[in-house]
Amino acid sequence: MARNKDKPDIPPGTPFQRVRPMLITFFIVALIGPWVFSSYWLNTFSTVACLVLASGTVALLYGQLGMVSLAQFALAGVGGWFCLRLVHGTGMPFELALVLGALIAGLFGLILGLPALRMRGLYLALLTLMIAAAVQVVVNVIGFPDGGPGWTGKVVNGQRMMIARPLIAPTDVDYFRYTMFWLALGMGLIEWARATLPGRAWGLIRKSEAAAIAAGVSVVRYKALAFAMAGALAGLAGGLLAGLNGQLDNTGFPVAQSILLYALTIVGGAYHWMGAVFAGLLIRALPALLNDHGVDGNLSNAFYGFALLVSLIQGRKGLAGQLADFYKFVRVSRIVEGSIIWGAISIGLAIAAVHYQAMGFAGALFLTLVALLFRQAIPGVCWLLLGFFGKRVQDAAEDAEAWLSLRLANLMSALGLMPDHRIVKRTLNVLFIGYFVGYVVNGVFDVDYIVALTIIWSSIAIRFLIQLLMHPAILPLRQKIDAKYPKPFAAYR
Amino acid sequence: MIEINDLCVQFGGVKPIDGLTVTLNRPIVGLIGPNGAGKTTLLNVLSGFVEPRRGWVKVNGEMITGVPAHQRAAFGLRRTFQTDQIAEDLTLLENVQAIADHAQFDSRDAEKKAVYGAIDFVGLSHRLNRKGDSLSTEERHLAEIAKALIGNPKLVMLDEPGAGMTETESEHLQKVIKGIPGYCKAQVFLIDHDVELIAACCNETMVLDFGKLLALGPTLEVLKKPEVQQAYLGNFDDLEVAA
Repeated sequence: MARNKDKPDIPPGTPFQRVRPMLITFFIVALIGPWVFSSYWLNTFSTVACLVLASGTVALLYGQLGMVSLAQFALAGVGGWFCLRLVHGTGMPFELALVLGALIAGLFGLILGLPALRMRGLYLALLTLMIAAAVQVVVNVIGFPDGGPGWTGKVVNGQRMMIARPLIAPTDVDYFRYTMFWLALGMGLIEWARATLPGRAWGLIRKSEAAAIAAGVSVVRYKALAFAMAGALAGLAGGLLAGLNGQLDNTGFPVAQSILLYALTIVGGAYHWMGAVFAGLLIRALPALLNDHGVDGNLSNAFYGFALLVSLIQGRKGLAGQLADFYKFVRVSRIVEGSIIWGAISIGLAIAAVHYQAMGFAGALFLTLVALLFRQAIPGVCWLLLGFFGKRVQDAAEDAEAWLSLRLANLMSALGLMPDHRIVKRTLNVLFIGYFVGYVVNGVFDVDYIVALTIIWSSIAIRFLIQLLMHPAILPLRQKIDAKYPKPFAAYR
Repeated sequence: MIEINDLCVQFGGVKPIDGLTVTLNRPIVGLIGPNGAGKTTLLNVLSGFVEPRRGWVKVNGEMITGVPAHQRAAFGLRRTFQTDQIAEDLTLLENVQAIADHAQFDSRDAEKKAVYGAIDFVGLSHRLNRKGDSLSTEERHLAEIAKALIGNPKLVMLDEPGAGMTETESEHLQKVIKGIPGYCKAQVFLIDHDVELIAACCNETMVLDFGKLLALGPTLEVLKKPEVQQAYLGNFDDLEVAA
């Protein structure tokens, strides 16, 4: 019964297509990460990768089933404990202990999930919080295994032992890539499940359990699956943390950390894989960055309260959701055009940086690419902050910006240049990004502030100039490509 | 064919359905009644969410009272809900596929054919990959119907599918509902407040009032009965009319 009321549909995304952007991102980070990070930052980012995986499990439970689990970091502790115990006790290879520890943590998660079959919301949150507290108490009493005798494997008086790094990843660089591999595997598993049969069943249950039952879905089975998966992957993250340092600290898995993990997963966004990445960076990388600049990293926790407030006001999708919504409207022609221009600019600037001995080739390349990324992220952040002050302020600011931009755009098109309807916003972005990214890279990459600022700003300025000048040549080409491939990311989530 | 025998549902002191005995064997059966007549309760009994205190229900000669709710889908009982149950962040295709995931099919091809066929049947093939939250109210109601047509149902129960639709949208809905018995050999059980929709679609209509059967028969005859009109509109003699 066809009705031709509307335009034809957007193309569908296969499960692999949906997981692919994430895998590519992780692959690129694993590849060029060790190239640009110092060893302190490399270890920090290995930890971040573990936290991303743990945050991914929180997002799985909250985003897919609306269930609040405050025990995910405690489950990471459980996974880490068993991983250490198995390696110390049996001398088995690290990988095997890692997987077995994850499976045991998955079993714990499943047991934890049993009450969740009947509980929701606040009660489930309280229950999981109590379990996290129980894990903390038990760990305080028996400690993490460090090669000692007995069931707990704890050394009472004497030299604590560490487990060796896995054979294929003895150095920090290898272990970073090793962690990224497990992260890609774990997050890939979650994303694959979301895109296929379990994800659809979770969607039905999330919408209404009655409707799911009426459709013949076993609610118990799919809730249990989610809890087991989340527990196992959190345990995997714990095992990877244990492998990173060869041991685990008794104070390493407190209740507060589980709560922070949950709160920042909400801030990052529980409905998109990027949310977990944001959460991981916020938990570990931002405090480390502040410490690097001589500010106490714990201060960031105060900021997180504010960030959570903003996320709750601005809606449930978090930072990642806003970014994803933004990308949905990206067009193929802009991607092709952007990649070519940015590739040329970044390579050119990197060569220039090497020539003047300002900084390394890879570092400069990375900087310009970061500038590109932030160019997209900042509008979302500005919008988020503006929204905090209320709709009226945001509207007034946008009206003023639109008024000015429109006049500037008219002027540009009268001069025969490519008109830009968001020129004021973009200029503000560029100023803001320059300072922000410059500040960050100054800490992370040991680059002079001025050099970083020069590279970022010149890359953006050159891009702007190119865009201005190529107006007549590019416009028909753009239209041709857009007509052929309309909005390629619209089907992704 | 739905056979209901001496059905009685009780919540505390309230009896939403009170001794209902009826046999419905036309392809499209309508159910109307004023608010609180027991329409949705009857649907909940049929789909297994409410256990009757007394009496039984048979569909196509098979006893369904006592069968757990989640097994009734496999048995061939499909329903829609008053508030549509389209998951916002799944696409339309995924929403329908989610139902097919839990139904029995001979092959992958048959499953795919059923999913695309149902979506095409309700006229939404141009919306396949739209997410639930970008569908209009009408499209969501139609998608609900498509979900109910998966897996060779024997009985499709529609709970107010026409709520909030404009006249043209309602016309399309009429065509869809009338086509269901031909499309999948299922009996349709339609609840709605829109008497026009009921009149246009249903071969047979039953009217409930306070849990009891008020009238049953060919739709037009039933709608013309004075007691039905009184149950719907009230008694004009008692009205206190504003000056």
